[in-house]
Amino acid sequence: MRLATRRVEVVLSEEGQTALRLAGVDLPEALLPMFFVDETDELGLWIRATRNDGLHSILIRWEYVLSLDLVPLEAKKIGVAS
Amino acid sequence: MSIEISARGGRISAAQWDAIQALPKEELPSLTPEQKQVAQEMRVREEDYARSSLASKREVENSLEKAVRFARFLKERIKQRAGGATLRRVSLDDPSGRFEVDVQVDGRTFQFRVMEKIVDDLFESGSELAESRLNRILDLAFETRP
Repeated sequence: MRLATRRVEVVLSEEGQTALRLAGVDLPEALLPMFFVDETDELGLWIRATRNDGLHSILIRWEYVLSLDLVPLEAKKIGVAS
Repeated sequence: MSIEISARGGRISAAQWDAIQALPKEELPSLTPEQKQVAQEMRVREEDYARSSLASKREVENSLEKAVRFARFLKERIKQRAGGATLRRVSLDDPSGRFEVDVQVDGRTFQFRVMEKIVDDLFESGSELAESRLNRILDLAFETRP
């Protein structure tokens, strides 16, 4: 599954949480913090994070990711003229 | 008669995500009592939950828009392959990355699937290869229909 441009809830290891705090990311208190994924590569998840000095793309290494959860998906139906 | 278009899930662009994050609190949708309860259980701030809920709506709207564009593209191509053939349904399931398409010919309906990536390649980069793959998928779907 492609994760780029998706919102995901991430369970991070203690090390991962520390790494993000050291990078100046204000981690939400939520049980499952949610991030917007800019891109993924062999190193990990590149997430979008806002710091006081602006918008950053920050790497969360795969080894710090314990699990990923896609946020609940909405479904809709419409009709268009054939 | 209309074509049924449906979508489950989707994606938003970084620009749409940033715009939702920048929305003033008072412009966010209000939460239902159930949503408030979930937010509390998951220790998510209500404001963050509301932004997430708005993003979910945008995601599925983006998917519906993509499905409508694909339906418009398919409509005439389907008619060309069999007289009286009509497009009945186009559904995009984002997690599986596939469109499901229902076509009716002579009162019978058959279904085929198309990978979302092929449609993205066609619409986002105008790929001739993607268009040729799509035509091949349509040919095979009509040749092997029940």
